[in-house]
Amino acid sequence: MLEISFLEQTLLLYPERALYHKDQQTLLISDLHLGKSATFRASGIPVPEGSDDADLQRLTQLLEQTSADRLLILGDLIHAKAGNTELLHNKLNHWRRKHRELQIVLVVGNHDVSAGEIPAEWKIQTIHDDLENPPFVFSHHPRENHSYYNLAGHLHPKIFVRVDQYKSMKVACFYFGISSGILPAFGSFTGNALISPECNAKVYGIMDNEVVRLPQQILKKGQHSV
Amino acid sequence: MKKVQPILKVQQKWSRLPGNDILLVEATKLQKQFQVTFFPFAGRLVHEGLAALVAFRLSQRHHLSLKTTANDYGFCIQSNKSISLDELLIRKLLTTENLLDDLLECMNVTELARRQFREIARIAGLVLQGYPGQKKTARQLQVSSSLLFEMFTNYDHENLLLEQAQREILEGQLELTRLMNTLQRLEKLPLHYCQTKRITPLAFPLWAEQLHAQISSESWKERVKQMAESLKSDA
Repeated sequence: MLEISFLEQTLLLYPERALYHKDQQTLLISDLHLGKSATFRASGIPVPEGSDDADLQRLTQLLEQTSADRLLILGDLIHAKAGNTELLHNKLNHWRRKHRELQIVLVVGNHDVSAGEIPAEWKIQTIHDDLENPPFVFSHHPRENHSYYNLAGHLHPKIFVRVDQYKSMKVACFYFGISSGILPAFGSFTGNALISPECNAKVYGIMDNEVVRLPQQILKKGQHSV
Repeated sequence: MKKVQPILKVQQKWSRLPGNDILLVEATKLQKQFQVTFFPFAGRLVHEGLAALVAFRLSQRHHLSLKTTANDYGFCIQSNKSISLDELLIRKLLTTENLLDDLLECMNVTELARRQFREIARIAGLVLQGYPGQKKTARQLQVSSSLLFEMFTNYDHENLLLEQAQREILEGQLELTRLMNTLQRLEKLPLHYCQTKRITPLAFPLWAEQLHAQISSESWKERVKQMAESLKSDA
């Protein structure tokens, strides 16, 4: 875990791909894509089950570590309608019963729009607009030119790092650009997009289960500009 | 033959001529690099496998970053640190003992299996390619074979498709049978280990060849952290 101070707020960056906003006692995650393997199986592609359980377990550990009161999900909770199954409902009902007191807020993402109803038992408050919470504004898609600094998801950012001629690699990262910060995708069955960092961006890579600030000179450009 | 005589002479002067009856190994220390070249004369495919194997075994002993290259008559391993070699160690690097285990482990480290899985995933219909002229396949079904590889390894590690990837690499890419035969042949040959001041004529093409594969057992996190620290102190 890496503690950083940003806009006079204390943020803890966890290598489990979550951000803890200490001042608000809120755990932030983005892009879970639950039920993705079920979506694939529904179309005849035999992908094994297991990542949902692993992700929920990781989430439990994070909640225990941080003792957060509130969980804020920056979109894409469920992957698709075909993955919004009984199996998933049972899993989440069970999980929710273990975290009764937790307040859960979902800023709706592009996948959520077509993923069907979120069961009432999960007690998740859904927000269709951007969520303003100074000094931040939370959204699924990254926002520019907002009066507050934006924290978002959607991109599943990964950065190309070239250490020297012997080693280059791609690592998932927390990205803090000029107008918005992007969280890595929380779900383990998710792809990534190689991003092109802006000039003064701060990039924190997830390497060997640790969050490390990556110096600018070893970052290479990807296809996706932020 | 006449034309190459001068080159062979230089080779003989700086090191010696490799051949069928000996195994020549040259070690050269360059400015920022250390290079070890082997001349087993076993063909490119086998050399690629051998290079991966030797690099893997070396990296198990020391924290090193290595690059390997191979051609038809030899292979070479480049490192950022100097490696202390002797005949005993070279014999150990080329032993047939533990061959299969080392190769399998090496496959994981170098991500060979992950790359091979791409082909398999396509043929098995796991990755939807779509047809020319057809509209894009459903977006929520797009996935990279490398991500699928991870899913299978984590949640269904006995899956037959994973096994298939391993088998295809062992036989197709690393040429297991020929590799085994070569190692057995090399075990019987006298070893000639020689440290050269410069890259010999025969080692040169291997040195010049661009990066083929990299293997590393160094902690990159530490390196990157150090870089970040030094940046901070500069600023």
